[in-house]
Amino acid sequence: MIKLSYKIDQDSSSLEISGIPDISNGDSEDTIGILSSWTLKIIGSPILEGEKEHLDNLMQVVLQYSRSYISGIRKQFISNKNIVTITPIANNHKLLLNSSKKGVKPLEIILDDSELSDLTRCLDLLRFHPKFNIRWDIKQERPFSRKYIIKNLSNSTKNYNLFYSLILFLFTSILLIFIPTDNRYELRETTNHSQVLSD
Amino acid sequence: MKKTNLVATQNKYLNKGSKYHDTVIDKSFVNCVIANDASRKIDFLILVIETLQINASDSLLLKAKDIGLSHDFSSRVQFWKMRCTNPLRNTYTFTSLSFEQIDSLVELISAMSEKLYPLIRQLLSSKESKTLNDERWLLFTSRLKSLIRERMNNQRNYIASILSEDNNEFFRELLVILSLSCGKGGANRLKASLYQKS
Repeated sequence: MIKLSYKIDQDSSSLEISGIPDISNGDSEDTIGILSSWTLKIIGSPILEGEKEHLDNLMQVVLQYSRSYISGIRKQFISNKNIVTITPIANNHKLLLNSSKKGVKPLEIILDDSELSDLTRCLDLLRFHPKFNIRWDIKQERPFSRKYIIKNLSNSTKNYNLFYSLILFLFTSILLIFIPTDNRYELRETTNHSQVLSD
Repeated sequence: MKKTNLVATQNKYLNKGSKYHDTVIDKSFVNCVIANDASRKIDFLILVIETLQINASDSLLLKAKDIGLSHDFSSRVQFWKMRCTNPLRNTYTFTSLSFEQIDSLVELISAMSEKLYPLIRQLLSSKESKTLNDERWLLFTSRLKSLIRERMNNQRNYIASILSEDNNEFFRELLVILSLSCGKGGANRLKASLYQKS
């Protein structure tokens, strides 16, 4: 059996995938159907490697995070077994990877927007490239509900116009109630007194 | 025996992706409606593309022809009419985009952002030289602001706030959207962000 190895390069990220075709699934000779190993190099960070489950976890969080980010939502995502976590920090993104081996400290990688998009593009290529026919345990991109967007939108982008206008309306109304009115004032009909000027 | 190949630095084969995904993606948009801000978002993304590339309107139509998009992209007027669905435009037409038009525009934006990715990446990168990056941002924002002034209704509060903003947060958001819209996965992501669950 020929062991295949493919490399996906995207500026700061480089992903190398090794595996063999899954002939029982009808894969051609040059298609990886069964993944045996992977290595991910992000410039300025240590080399990451692991089993398929780890790559699944990385894809889960990074792709979900990117999906949210494109809708203006910045929130933390944690993979199924808490192996990978991605959290927004200021303008950057913190990727935290917990090793399944005992005694190994978690690895922390800080990505800026360009590095996040490089990594996302790398993982997108892996998902959709015809040279890979691997079943990934990841959620597809789905539209969010309006409720979810409003709930998760960062404070800076929330539209408070309605709230402010309501507050302004109530304040003005209360102010007008407390302004004293002159009840003694009576409306009188104006009468025209015609004076005859007599010489 | 180990066979090594350099697979891809660009998306060359994306139209024939893995068979596990094609059926699932279409089902993701069942019971969904077009988001209220979809036409606004699309128009601003095209405006950013126009900022990044001179004569982008020609490139957009050529790209649309290359990727085989519908007759909506056959002439500048038809394309302009679609963009006039943005309520913040001077020439707002009180119409809305159809599902097919959104799909075509998503495909076009995705293809263009892939073409312009090196430029987008440069602007988003924090690893570049600060003075050089500041110069690039100054050029980018001044050009984008002049396009906004020219085409949008400047009396709208939203436009006025964008133009007066100094921290460029909104422009950065647009660039991030473009950077995450490249390729097939990116197009799916962008499309999902333009819809809402009903």
